[in-house]
Amino acid sequence: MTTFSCTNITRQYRNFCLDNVSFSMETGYFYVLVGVNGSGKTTLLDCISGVDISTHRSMSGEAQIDGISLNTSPETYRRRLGYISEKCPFFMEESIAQNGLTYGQFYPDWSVRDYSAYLDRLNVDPSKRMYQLSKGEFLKVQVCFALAHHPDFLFLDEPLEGFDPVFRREFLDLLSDLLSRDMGILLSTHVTEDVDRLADYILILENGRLMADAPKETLSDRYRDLTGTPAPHIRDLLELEHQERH
Amino acid sequence: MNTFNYYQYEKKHLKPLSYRVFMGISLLWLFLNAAVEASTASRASEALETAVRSGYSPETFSLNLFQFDLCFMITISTLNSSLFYIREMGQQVPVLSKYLFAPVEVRKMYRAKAFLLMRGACLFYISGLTIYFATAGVTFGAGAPFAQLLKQFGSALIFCIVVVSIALLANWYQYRQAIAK
Repeated sequence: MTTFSCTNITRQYRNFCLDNVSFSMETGYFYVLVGVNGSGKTTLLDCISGVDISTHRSMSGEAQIDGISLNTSPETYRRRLGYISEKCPFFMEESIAQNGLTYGQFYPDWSVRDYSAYLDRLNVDPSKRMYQLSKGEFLKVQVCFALAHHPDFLFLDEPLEGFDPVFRREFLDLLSDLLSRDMGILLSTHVTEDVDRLADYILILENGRLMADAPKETLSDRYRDLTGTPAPHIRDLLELEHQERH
Repeated sequence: MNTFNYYQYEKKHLKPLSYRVFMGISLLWLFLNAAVEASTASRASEALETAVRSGYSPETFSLNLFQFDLCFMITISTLNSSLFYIREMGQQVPVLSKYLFAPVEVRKMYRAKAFLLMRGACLFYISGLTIYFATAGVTFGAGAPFAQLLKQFGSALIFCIVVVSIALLANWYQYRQAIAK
């Protein structure tokens, strides 16, 4: 079992502040990071995935995977995780296969065979150029690439937005498969219906502050105590937290 | 993997064809210029020597700074372009911005690219210097105006350093602009 932890992650913008966020994760569990638009989900994921460090922005705090620090060993730390975001800058005029080979060089465990197998499983043609891909295919390529370097943790920034229900189901099946292979998953979303079934832990971010970090059952019990009815969806837990703050 | 060698990585991925072509053309141009100028200066000195029976002084043989600087700028800008930029969807994109999500230290990658750029600039400068000094030595022997050439190459060196420094600063600025979007 591998652990991820972050402490006091702070990131200051002119009109927004991600404020001292701390939490930890273990492999084999599904963590859902929820929050309304603008609550800081993407900022938090950029910080803990190391993207913020590579842009030399003013992030403070510490993140570690099995004791490997993002601040002191950013390369080693980042090899241990996969980050899936629509901002990922692939070489757009190169093929999917070529992009895999280019970026794969930076990961010691990257396997071209696995990459090819995942692309095949998700029905993506490796000879296609990146600019020819639809949003869904772009996401699939990222997932295939991330899985081919065998990360301990997979961070996904709002991956389910704008996809049809068939693809969502396929994608969630794939995530479920990864959980059984002892990968830790942190998925951010503000559309929570799809992940109701998979979520083990819920992290609720509200205006840059982490308001809740607990197992889904604990939050459901709290919801029942407060409202007298069980929480049918993660969305209800989020709404409750949101109402409590306002 | 912990000691990923950025210099070797960059060297392996550099496609220097246009740089090599411009370098070849520029050095050939400089060589032809030097040879023509040396030959002209030598003939003029011989004519003068015959006329006044005095020792000749080939002081008219000099480096054409404008041409040298122009050749340097063209050659180095092609190398700079192939190291730091890619053309994508009709636009020039700083290649460093493509490694935002990869487990790399962009500063180290930039440093490796900068080193390769400086190496290319040194190669050009030393080749130009060798061409002029060799031409002067072969044409005028011991009477070659080495001191004057050295002074001119000193000026050229300052120009080269300024050009490379500006290019490196501009590359970093472009990268920062690209990731800020």
